[in-house]
Amino acid sequence: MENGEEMELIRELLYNSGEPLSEFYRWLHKAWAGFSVPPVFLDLMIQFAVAAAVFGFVAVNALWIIYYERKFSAKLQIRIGPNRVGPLGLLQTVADTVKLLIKEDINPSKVDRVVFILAPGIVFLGTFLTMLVIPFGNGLIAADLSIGILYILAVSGLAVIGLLAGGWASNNKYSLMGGMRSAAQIVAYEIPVLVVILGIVMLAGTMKMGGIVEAQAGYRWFVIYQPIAFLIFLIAANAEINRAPFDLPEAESELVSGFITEYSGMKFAFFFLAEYTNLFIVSAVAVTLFLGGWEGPFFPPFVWFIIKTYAVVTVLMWMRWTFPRIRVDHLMQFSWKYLLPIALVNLLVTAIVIKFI
Amino acid sequence: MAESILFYGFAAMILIAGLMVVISRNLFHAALWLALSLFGVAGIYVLLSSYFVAGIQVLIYIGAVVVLTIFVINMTREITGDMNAPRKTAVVPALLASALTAALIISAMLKTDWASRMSRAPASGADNTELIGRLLLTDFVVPFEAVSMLLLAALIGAVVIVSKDTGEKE
Repeated sequence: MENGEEMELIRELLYNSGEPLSEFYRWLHKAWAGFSVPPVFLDLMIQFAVAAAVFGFVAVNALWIIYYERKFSAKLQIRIGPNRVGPLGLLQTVADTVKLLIKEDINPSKVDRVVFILAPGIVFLGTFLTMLVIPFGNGLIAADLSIGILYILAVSGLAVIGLLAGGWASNNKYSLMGGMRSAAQIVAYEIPVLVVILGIVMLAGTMKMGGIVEAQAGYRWFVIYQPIAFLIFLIAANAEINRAPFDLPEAESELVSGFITEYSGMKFAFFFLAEYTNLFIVSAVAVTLFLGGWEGPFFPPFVWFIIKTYAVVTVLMWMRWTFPRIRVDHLMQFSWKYLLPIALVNLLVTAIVIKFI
Repeated sequence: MAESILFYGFAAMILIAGLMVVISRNLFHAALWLALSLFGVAGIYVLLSSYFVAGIQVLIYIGAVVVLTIFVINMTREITGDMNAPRKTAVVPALLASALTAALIISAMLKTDWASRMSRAPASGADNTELIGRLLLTDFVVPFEAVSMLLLAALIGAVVIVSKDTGEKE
């Protein structure tokens, strides 16, 4: 009997984690009331635990996604890819990470020390804060803010400051150029993304991440209603995370490595971690906004969410390893003269359709 | 109690960072301090449960204004060091301008009837994004559109000025 109840609880947690989690939360509070400590401290501890869980996910996910990218690019180029460390090379990224972490921490003598050290932290902070509102499943979200999607747009802007600061503090012309390019690119491509998301918010009637997914319940995914918006989002998001064909900020053949030229060891690892986590976040946001989030048959919600997110990640990787880098003036023209007008027309049509149909 | 601790924390952050913006001799550092100060303002908005305003504050002020400021600083000749430090001769006009601004803000604060304003504010914790949207398109639609026109004019003006410069070179 008891076993059955436990199974029921596990099933509930897998398929609809909101209710059992909040029950657990209430139970914790009841237990806490036995001590004479204000409940604020318990809430603080819970918040820390949630943040630690998200951090753990970020770290493990980055290990796997880097391995996946290397294997995937190898497939596209008819190579084998990492295959020495561990079975199928699975431990390659673990070994690389350990190497990066135990490397000497180099601060070149001409850099602006404080800003140089701060920059990777700012970039990672922007990424980490975004992770907090990604809805992995029904109720499986660190903080379902009422301004969800706006929050993502806002805090992802912090990373730009980190990139600019890193580029400037390195005191190196390549780094500076890389930082400037990335800022110009991110500002230019953020506007089409914003306009496209506005259409989705109008359809869903809410900015809550959970609410947007619920608005698509019954397989009425927004990608069916907003196919153009989906394409614009994918292209612009790819540009915002500085990946090829939009990798001008760190174009190896032009700028050495752009803003990360002077970075090594641990600090480089932070930039790298943020970059690959951004890839995951962009895909997760695409899944939430357009592909029905955690919805799907048979599997538990979070499994569907991961499957869909990795499908989008794969498409973005496919783009990266297929297209050559585009020129910097073409990059700007493409955003301002094509993506933005199309996005605005799309928004206008969406508004008219919602109003009259 | 937690709320007042957070309030004083954010207030101290705004003031200290704001002071550092003014006294820091390195322009780039000043821009970073400005970002921190604006972040503190967003924190105050969150405490007031104006989540939408807080989000917009971070998106516009940190994501756009500070980024553009840094962008401009990056275009100056000497990229690190104190070469771009503001001239000390500007102290008197700067003090005068700050004194006038401070006087304006303080007089506005003294004139405002806080008690009646507080009672009209929406309940704390409520989602007021919808309320803001509704008010912007009903009661405040004329100022809203006027500001939009002003921004559009500024945008087109900037493009015209820049394109004239490149036109002469060709």
